[in-house]
Formats: sequence, C-alpha cells, structure tokens
Amino acid sequence: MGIGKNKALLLFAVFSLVLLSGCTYTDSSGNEQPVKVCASGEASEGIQVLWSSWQGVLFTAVNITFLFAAAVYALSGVVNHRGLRVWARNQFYEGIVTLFMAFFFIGFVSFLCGLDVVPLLGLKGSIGSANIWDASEQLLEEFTDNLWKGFGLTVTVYIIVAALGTFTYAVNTSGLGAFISLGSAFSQMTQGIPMALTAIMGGIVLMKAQILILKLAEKLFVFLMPTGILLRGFGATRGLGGALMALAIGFYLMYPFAIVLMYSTISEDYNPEALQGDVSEFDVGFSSMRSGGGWISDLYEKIVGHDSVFETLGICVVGTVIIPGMTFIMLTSFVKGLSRTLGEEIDVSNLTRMI
Amino acid sequence: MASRNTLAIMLFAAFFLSAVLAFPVSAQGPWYHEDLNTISKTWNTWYPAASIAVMVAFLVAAVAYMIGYGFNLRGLKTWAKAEFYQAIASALLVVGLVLLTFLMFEYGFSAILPKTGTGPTDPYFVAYNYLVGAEKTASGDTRLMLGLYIADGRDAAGKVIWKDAPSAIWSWKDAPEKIKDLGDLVAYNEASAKAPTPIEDLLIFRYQSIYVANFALELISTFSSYQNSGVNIPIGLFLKPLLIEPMHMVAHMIMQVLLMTYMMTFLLQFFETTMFSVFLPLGLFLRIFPPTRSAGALLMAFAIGFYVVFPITFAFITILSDDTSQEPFNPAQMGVDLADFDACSDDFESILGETQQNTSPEVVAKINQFGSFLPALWIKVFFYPIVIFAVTLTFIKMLSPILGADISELGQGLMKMI
Repeated sequence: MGIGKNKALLLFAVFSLVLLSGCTYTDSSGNEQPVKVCASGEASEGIQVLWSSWQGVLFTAVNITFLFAAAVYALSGVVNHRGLRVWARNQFYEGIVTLFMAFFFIGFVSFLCGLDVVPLLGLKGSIGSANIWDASEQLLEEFTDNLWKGFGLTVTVYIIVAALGTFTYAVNTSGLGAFISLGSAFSQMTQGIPMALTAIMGGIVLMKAQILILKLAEKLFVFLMPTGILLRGFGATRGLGGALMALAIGFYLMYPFAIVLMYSTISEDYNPEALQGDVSEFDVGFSSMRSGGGWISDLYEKIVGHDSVFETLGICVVGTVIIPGMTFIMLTSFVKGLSRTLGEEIDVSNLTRMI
Repeated sequence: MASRNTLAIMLFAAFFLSAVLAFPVSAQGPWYHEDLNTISKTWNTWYPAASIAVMVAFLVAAVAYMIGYGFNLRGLKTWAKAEFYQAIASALLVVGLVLLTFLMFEYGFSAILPKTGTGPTDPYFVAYNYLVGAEKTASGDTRLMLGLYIADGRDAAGKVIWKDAPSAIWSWKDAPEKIKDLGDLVAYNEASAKAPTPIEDLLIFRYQSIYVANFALELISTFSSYQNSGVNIPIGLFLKPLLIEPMHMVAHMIMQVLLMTYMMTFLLQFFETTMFSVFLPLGLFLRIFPPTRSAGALLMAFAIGFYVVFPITFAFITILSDDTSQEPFNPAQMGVDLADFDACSDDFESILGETQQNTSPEVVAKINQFGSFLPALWIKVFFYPIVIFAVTLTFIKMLSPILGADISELGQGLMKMI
C-alpha cells in the first residue's frame, strides 16, 4: 500500500522545486551568500535575485495554464460540454490570481520588511523602531536573557546553600570522637532548588526552540512561497501550492506577529505598562539582600519566601509554555483558514491527533 | 428594499449608540468600568484601521462579484455575496464593539455575579485573593502580606486602596511578633477581613513550619561517633527515614504546589492584561478578511472566554471550595515523640529493634500528619484549574463557530491537551 501515483508525482515536483530554489545566491561581488528575506528595511538582494529567476518559470507556467485553458474552452465549444467550459474558466481565473500574486510578491515582502510595528501595534517602550521579524526575535532573546539571569541567580544561591550544607564539626581525642554536620539543616532548601533549575532550563530550551523556529521560518519562506505560487498556477497542484503558501505566510508573518503581540505584554522594553512580576525581577537577587546578620533569612526568602525564585518561575511557565501554546493555536487556525482560501484546506485533524 | 432600510437603520443605530456611549465611563462605578475605559482607549487606536479594513472587505466583495458576473462564475458570485454579508457583520462589530462590551458587562455579567457595596464582585480580585492575596492584581504594585484584607480591596470610589497606602501593609519580616502561627494568621484574617488565607501564604507558612521542625532533627541525625578502627556509628541516622525524609517530601510537594499557584496567578494577570486590550481588537480586525476570519474569530472567542468565563469560573470555585487554613496545625504536635527512642543504644541491633518497635501504625499515622493538609491544596491547585480550563475551553469551542471560526478539529486538540 504505497502512496498514490499522483501524490508521488507531486512529491517529486516539490522536491525538484526545492532543489532548484537554492539556499544561496551570488552577490554583485561574486561571493556566494545565504538568501535572506529582509535587509536594511527592504527586500534583500538575495530574494530579489532568487525571485527574478523564479518569475520566468512562473510566467511560463501560468502561460501554459492559459494555453491549456484556452484549448479546453475551445474544445468545450466543439463538443458543447458545459462542465469543460466551466473548468476552463476557473483555470483562467485562477491563472489571473496567480499572476496577481506573482506581481505583488516582492512589493509585499518589501512592504513588510520596512513596516515599523512599534507604533502600529501601539507599543510605547524604549525599543525604537523594528519590523515584525526583528521585533519578535528581540522579544524572544530578551525573555531568554532574563531566564539565563534567573538561572545564574538560582545556581549561585544553590552553590551557597549546598556549600553551607557540608559544614561539619568534629570533636575527638586520639582514636575516638564524634562529629556533627552543622550545615545539614540546609538540605531541605537544597532539595527544592533543582526543581527551579529544571523549570528554568526547560524554559530556556523552549525559548531557544522558538527562536530557531523563527529563523527556520525565514529559510522556509525563501523556497516555500515561490514554490507555492508556482504550484498554484496548475490545476492539479493548486491545493498543494495554496497549502505551501499558507504555511510560508503563516510561519513567516503570523507567527512573529503573534509573538510580538504576546511577549510585548510581558516585556518592559516594549511596553512600560507590562505585566507586574516581569522575568527581569530575577535579577533583584543579591542587590536586595541585606548585609549583616540577616543574610541567612534573606537567602531563605530568596528561595521560598515572597518575591522568591519560585514566584518568578510562575511567569516563566506562562512565558515559555502557555504563550507559545496559544501562539501555535493562533498559527494553526490562521494557516488552516488561509490554505482554504488559497487552494486546499490543510487537514488539521491528523495534526491534532498527534497532540 | 425593506431589508436594506433595516440594515441601514441598524448600522446607523449602532454607530449612534456607540458615539453616545463613547467612554470614559465613570471611574467611580463597578470594577469593570476601568476595563471598559481601557477597551475604549485601545479601540480608538484600532478603529481607523478596522474601518478601512471593512471598506476593503466591501470593495473586495464587490470586485469579486463583478468578476464573477463578467466571467459568469457562479461560485465566485456566491462567495462574493457571502463575503458581503460577512462584511456587514464585521462593520456592525467594528462600529459597536465598545457598546457590545458595555452591554455584556452592564447587563450580562453584573447580573450573574454576587453584589458588593460597589457593584458586582470583581472575579479577578476574588481569584487573586484566593491564590496569593489581592495585591497581585495586574494594576496593583504593592504586596498585601499574610492575607491582610480590607473590605473588597477598593474604597467607595472603586479605587484600589492599598496601592496608595503601603505603610499600612505588614510584611512577614516586620510582623513575627504579631503573628506566630497559622492559628494567629487565620484569626487575624477572620477578625479583619472574613477572607480565607491565600494559598501562597498557607504554603509558605507550612514550609517554614516544617523547616523549623526539621532544623534540629537534621542536626541530630548527622551526629556520629567514630573510632580509628574504621567503625563509624551514625547514632542519629534513624531519624532520617522516620521524620526527616517524609518532611522533605512534603516540603518538595509544597514547592510544586507553590509553583503552580504562581503560574495560575500570572496566567490570570496575562488574561486580565491582554485579552480585551490585545486579543479582542486584533481578533475583530483579522475577522474582517476571509483568509484570516477563522483565526480572528478564534482570537475573539479566546478573549471573551479567558477574560470573562475563566475568572468567573475561578471565583465561583473559590467561593464553593473549603478553607484549608481552618485545619488545625501545630508543628509541636507533628511526628514522633523523640522520647520514644533511646538515642543511647550502643549497638545496631538494639537501634533497629527500637526503630521497628516505634514504627507502629500510630507512629506512621503521626508522621502522615505532616502532609495531611496537602490533598486539599493539591485538589485546589491542580484539579480545580483543570475544571476551570475545561469550562472555559468548552465555552470557546461553542462561541467560535458563532463568530465565524471552524475549530472543530482544533477544539478536539485543545480538549486533548487538558
């Protein structure tokens, strides 16, 4: 029970196009460079070079579609077949839509590259101006940095408490004696901290994964979008083309957009009225600890008291688990709706079964 | 013709009422007036873009209809007609968002929520107070330690009173002589507030109590004698499995529950801060365009579900749940009486025998008292949120199709996640 002949053909077509698309281009100096989407607030040289070679293929494909549709339309007149006529009209109409998309592709990308989302989304922080991708990456990096700060603080506290826990006092005469571990009373605190460290490390991994997906989205966009537009030009591959375009737009546009919206609510750089209890409170750490005799109680407070590491972990879980979860739900819904409009709806039911 | 007139009148009425009800509403009203002002302010930013988007939607529908008519494409004509109706629905929502939100709060939720002196109960306030104390509201910036609780947290004008009066607030460090144990804390709360002690304070207090009780035991447990012949006799070791480790386990569980409590708190803050100021306007904006309608409607359903249903369900569960702080708790009565053990046993056999002898069901029952408060808290912090999420997501699943989203498959996925 292998895959069908048509599906195999489609897979071969996509694979060939991906191979043709290339991940690098030769710049004006003759050096091979990776293809980026944006550079200096506009569509990069790489994507323009890539698209110029794709455009020829695309226009040829659409012309073939027009030719084929015209032939079918003529045939339908000869045999007086209404179904054929309607099909040919639809192909013609879809060809026009594909051409429309091809004409505006670079303009659309340039527009997005230069679009300053800070005033557009009503963000009022100290960040200045940034397009949607730069802003989303900065936000994710900022949150990750705060997690690292938290990790550093927690590890430091852990080292201190664990070191105190080894303090032992011994009394002996020759050959006979007794000892007592005076620091053993710290073990309850020592045992609690690894849970915090695990949670923070898990959070950092999830944040890094999001940053990676964001970078991957750029790479995917470079070949998924042109491939999608091209495949959409033919009737047989229209569904797949639409789905590829929806995936490319979803990951490269909707995903960073959702990240900016979500994470700006917990970032003081982007929003001075950010949520109380920002992750940056991690670094309150030692600066708030009293000098003198109160340091043990301060250490205790820092671990389990009010304003402790654990309290700050609450927002870490929200930022690293809940927000990405909601982002992906938004993204899935967007891609599903867009793929339905552009060609063929992506079967999300199989994806949700994976959850 | 009649239907067109009706449509025009509806649009005009919505626009007129929206203009009449242009906020700010009185800040002295119930708790949601402040939120309505926020929504109004946020929507002022989005309104021009959304209006233009609605016009574009009408234009696209008109152009699509013309193309459909020109090429005699029946499917396109039908799509254009459907889009025209969707654009009308979007126009109504764009024009009347603030009005609809006002009606939802003023005549909807205020009717189902219990009343206080300043109007309907603030479900967020109840939820925060249940978890960590009312100082954790997204708008508040001071701590309210040990469950100190004044009326419903706002003065007659509806203002958060402790935000401006930090000097009146105790802290744990400043008040050890005033509140020595959980009994005092509960009594204090009852006398001053009639509110249950927040889960956070309960947990921290329990942790501290266990820590204090364990402190001396751990020291004793490490006491060993040794000889040069290499024999090391850990005299106090028997305390570890009997007392110290069970207490460590309880402390570890407390930390887990504490972490979950903080997560729920920040989740509430996240929902309170973002749902009506980010998700709702964005959802409405995205709903205007056909390709993004599904995502937009889903965001709108999220906004209403998480901003309204989630805290209200939370508040109701809070009201219905018992107060675990009322449970008797005295660190001095915990565990095993050390006098039962003869710490001066001089060989392993006798130590082992005494340990077995003293590990009777009564002793084990005493040890179990350490964690007797945990099941109730465990249910509160781990099980109740699942119920709350289930209710909220069911609401979102029901509301999404009404607003235009198809989340039958996504909805199944969400439920599976719970």
